[in-house]
Amino acid sequence: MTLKARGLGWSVAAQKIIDDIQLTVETGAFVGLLGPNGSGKSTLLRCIYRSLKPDAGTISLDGTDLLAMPPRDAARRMAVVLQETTIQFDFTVQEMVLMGRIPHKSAFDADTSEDWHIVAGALAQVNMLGFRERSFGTLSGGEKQRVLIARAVAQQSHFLVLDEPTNHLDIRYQLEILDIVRELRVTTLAALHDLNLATLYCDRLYVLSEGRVVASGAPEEVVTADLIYEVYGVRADVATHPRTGRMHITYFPTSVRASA
Amino acid sequence: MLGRQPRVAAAPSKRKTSPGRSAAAARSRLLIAALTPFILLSITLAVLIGPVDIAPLTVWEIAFGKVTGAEGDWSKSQANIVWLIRFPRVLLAGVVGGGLAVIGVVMQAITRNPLADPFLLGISSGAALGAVSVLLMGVFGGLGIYALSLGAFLGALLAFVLVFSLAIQNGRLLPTRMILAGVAVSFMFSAVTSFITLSDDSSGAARRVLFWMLGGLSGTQWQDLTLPALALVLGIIYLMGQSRALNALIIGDETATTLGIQVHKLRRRLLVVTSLLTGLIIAVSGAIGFVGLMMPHIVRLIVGSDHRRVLPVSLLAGAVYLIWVDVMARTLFAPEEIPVGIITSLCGAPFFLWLMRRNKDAL
Repeated sequence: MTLKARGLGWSVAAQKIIDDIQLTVETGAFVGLLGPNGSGKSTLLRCIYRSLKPDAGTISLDGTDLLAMPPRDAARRMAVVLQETTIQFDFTVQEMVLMGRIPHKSAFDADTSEDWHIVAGALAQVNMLGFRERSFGTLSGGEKQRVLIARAVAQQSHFLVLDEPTNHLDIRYQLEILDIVRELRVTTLAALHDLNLATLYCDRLYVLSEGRVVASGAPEEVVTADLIYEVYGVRADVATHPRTGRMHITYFPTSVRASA
Repeated sequence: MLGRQPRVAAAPSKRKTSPGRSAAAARSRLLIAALTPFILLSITLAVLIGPVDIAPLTVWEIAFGKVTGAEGDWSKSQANIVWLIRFPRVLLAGVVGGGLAVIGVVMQAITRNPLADPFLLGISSGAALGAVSVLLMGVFGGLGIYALSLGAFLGALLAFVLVFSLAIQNGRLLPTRMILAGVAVSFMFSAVTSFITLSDDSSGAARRVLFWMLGGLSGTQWQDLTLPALALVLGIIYLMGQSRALNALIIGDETATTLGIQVHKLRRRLLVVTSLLTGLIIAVSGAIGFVGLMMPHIVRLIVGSDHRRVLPVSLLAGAVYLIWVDVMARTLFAPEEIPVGIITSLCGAPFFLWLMRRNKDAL
């Protein structure tokens, strides 16, 4: 499933939060969206998962106009993992994952054994099958995130959107979540805040700054010392790591910069 | 494809005879199976209890006789007491209790706040004001007995829309603001109701208005039952159809959107449905508080948060609860009657305070 955004813009009170965004996610690719806080990453994702209505531009999924699609059809094609929020009402893990079946169900449909198999399969894919009867509220941040990914899996869509899935997680769980997502082998667009993780997992990167795409391409083309200074205002050294073969970024504190 | 069936999945789910049959779902089925006959038993007992003694079997013989026209060995006064006074009142208590519990469930989902209740958020006082305006000022005079219900519905809708728009800031619904807005709207509407009452010279006015403010079921007639019962049946069917969407809605607007739910449209519809139910119920019962807060909460503790279970179980639990509270209202200080709303508030307000301490995030 290929996603194409062309000339996408969204503004609030005459201020352009994102402007003239061109973005393509090719089938099967893991695309990372980078940029400092307030650069418009979340806004761009919200436009793509239709929580916000862009006031300029088009988005298409495999050539079909995403913005004109009935909501249920869109939900069958695209699953979204949002940043975890606290909820006042408690659901069990399997009830949370079962919600992924909503776009496939009509008003009075019962849950079939197929639905429950899909739920069990999705939980197995994120290694949470043993937690199915546990209450969602009692899980740790990393476990919650895995359950939300399982819900996206149960949705059986072909396109996955993640908004900073590793936020507030310990490094071990950050790697675990991104490993799980990569193993799903589904077309993925993820906003990420850690440059090193992004270069480690993504096939292609887009860098946003002040609402515009300032760089895009393969990680080794995009992540350069100049770009990091330009976008984040930080001096850094970028090198290929001998063991991962991926780009590795070392940031310099002011003291090092002064003596260099 | 994202949902490929992985190898690991088949094994554990086949071991269980029925995957996904959770403990909560089993408890829910058991509860429904137990509550349904218990409602019939409660109705029988509630009809029995009263100053005139009547045998249990006679209650249903009279009911059967009234429906089919059959004769039996009961006196005319017994028949009148059972059929014209006690039956409609007990059944209305069931409809009102079940209805208020269901309204509470839906309001809590719309506002994503477990402390929401038609009474606390001022919806009930809106409905009471609507009813009193009709009663004392003759608004919608051409509509006869439906005028009162229409007035209560419009009052409820007005209050709900008002509280809702006051509780939203920058597109986000703030629970604390919502409760505060509800209290303010509630006081405002009560003040207007009192003003209308005091400006009215007719002798019975104050008494009838007091009835709406306190909530009570005395003097119920069969015709009072029709509209609320009909609305409750249609309402629960509609809501059961939306139960999956309600589940997604209490997770969050964005999550619901990504699951293909048209959140704003759904919320508007639910707002109208709950206002309509509240209005029709309060037109006949007055503002009975805290049922919509207590019942859903207790039910969720037992069956979890899935609305496909919470809605039917709350309906049954609310019906049983109010039938028995109304029995207390009639008998505690017999022959004097206490308005049923006073007892529900005496039970409900401490419950609310306990909930507030327990759910620190909700306020």
